[in-house]
Amino acid sequence: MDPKTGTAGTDPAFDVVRFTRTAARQRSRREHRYRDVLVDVYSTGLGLAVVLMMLGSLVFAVRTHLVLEPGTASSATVTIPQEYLQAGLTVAGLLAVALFSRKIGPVNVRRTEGFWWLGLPVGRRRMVEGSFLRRVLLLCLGAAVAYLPFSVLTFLTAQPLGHALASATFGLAAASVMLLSAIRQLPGRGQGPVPTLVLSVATSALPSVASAGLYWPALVLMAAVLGLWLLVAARLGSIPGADLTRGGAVAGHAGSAVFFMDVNELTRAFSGTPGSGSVSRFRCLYALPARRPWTALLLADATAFLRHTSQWRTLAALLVLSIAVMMADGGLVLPARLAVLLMAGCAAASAVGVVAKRTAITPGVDAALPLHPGAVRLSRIVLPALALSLWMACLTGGLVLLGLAGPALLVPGAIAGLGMGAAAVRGAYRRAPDWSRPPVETPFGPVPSAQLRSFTAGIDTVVIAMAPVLLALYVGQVPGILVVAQLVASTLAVLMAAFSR
Amino acid sequence: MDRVGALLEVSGLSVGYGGVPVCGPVSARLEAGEVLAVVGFNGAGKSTVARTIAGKQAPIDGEVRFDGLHVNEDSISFRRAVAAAFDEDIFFPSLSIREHLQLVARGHSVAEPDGAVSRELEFFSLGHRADVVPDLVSSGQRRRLLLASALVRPSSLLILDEPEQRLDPVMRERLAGRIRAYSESGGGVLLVTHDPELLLRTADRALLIDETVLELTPQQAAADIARAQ
Repeated sequence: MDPKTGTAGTDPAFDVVRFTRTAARQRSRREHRYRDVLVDVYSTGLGLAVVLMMLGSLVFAVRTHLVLEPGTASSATVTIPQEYLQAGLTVAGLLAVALFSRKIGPVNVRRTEGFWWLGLPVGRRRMVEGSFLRRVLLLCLGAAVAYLPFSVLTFLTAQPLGHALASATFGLAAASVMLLSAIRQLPGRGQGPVPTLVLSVATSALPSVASAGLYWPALVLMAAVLGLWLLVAARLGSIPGADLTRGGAVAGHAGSAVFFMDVNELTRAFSGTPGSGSVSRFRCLYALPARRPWTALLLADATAFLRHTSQWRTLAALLVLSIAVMMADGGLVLPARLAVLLMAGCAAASAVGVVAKRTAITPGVDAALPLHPGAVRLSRIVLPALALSLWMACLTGGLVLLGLAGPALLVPGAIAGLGMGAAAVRGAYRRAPDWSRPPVETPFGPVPSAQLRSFTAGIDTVVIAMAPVLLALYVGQVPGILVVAQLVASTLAVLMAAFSR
Repeated sequence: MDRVGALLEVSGLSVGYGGVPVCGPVSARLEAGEVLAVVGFNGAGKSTVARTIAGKQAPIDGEVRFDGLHVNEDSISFRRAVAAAFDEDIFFPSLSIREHLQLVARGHSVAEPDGAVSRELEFFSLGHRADVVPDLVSSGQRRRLLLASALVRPSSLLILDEPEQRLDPVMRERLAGRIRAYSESGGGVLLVTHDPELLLRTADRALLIDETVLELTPQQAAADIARAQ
């Protein structure tokens, strides 16, 4: 024993993770009855099975429709072959995995573990290895399951084995991307995102190859996963504690948001905070004279909005995706393409609502202003509305350039963007679903209408704002009445966002 | 091994957030067996200074050396030698008070961990609540658990951030004696405090954190705190 410090030297037998888990498990056994656990497992399993069956039915219905009525060729002057679009979407999926991985670490510890474990003078590898391995396996499985519908709907000639292999290949590619993200956490390995980008592009065609029933793409990626794991696992203990706890904080925040099914909270978890340098930007705008409270608030909202830069990247990605879908040669019928545009519109509205989502959680600040709540929301709508008006003008402008619509589409497009900006604020101010409220009895059975209202707030306004412009795309022309309808729809969206509770 | 320099050496340390300092640059030395108090008004940056010295936050400028080496929270030797208690209410929801302390004692290879844990539980009057999870005890008892976790393990530097918070006068008195005993046994203590009594009973010197950081005697610092209150 060290007489000065009172220690008996290092104790390699002490496993901090096992100690914590064992103690927690013993308490859990004392406090929970097996019957309750069985009921929880049964209800979760049943719920999961119902959701999977519903999704499966939907996917097979769409597939049957696609087989019977193949997608129309794009009438664009420049088209993208369907295989390229599939590969592009696979790359986008893998890059999304990489982004998600870096946000949550991917090697991390939860806040409590960070506080009680990381201060101990024992190697940290055992603290993070088990949970990280589980995370990689879960991601691999989850990505494979998520890819299955995509495979079923796009590789129409593939056999079930081909779909399984394509999904497994994508799952393994996702696991490789996560392991590459973990390498970026190692000290002295700040190699940037280039390897992830290279891997994503290099593997993008492999699921398509595997869908022909070939095993080698999955085997090659399995070897890559094993190699990367061996590279990472040996050095997991050297990842700085600050990085472990940062990722753990994001993962914990996101996990609780998923548990409560609160989409806004999930966005907040992943959006992060603007960098310290952003505070110096747009100071001149904020310093402009404002005689009335509303003008002062508008300047504050505009400055906060412009200091956030991540939304512009999301908007650019969504613009590229939307135009690519419209350029795809075959594969999708026009209503399906328009549905993709609608989904992209919802995502764009969510992206520009980042400031409103932050202010929505501090209602006391808004209430302290000498302004009607509707006036406060109107101020918050202005910048998202202008941003989405510009985005829609770019989107419809792109469609005009591709010969998919006449120049007149630009007018309802830009007006629709104003309504979508209002939808961004309506979505940001949606109340968190209150699961204590009972479902309402209907002829179709009990429906959790209050919770559904909470989920659909914002999306409903995007649908209203985009309906006329999508209709114009469907009919292929822009009659004057559609422009009037677009004006009415966007005004309605703004009024709903500003004044409805 | 005989120590060549000071236990803790802080030179031109600038601390803050987003590159903006919250107080003037800090320079100080702490020898083994000494208690250095850190005082100042609310928001002066005392806790930020303590967190930066503990390696939990990166400095803006300057350097902190512990035992002649740069402070590095990720180094095992630093974690073994430096104990810190900040005001953070973070506990495992399924671990009892005793199990939290056992985790720390075993993690630090204390020779008889269960005995050491029992002694701390007794000292901090937590024995009757030892098998309860922290969520079910008062905030003062949770505070005592945090202090016990810093003292149940061996260390040569103890960093305490306002340890008097949420403690009753009797426990403050006992804590003062414990801090003095720690320093007399050869450990160094960095004590952030607002309590003039605790300061006078324990500290050898004090740093007044402000736009300009000054070194004062404990009596001067206690008088300064009394004026501010």
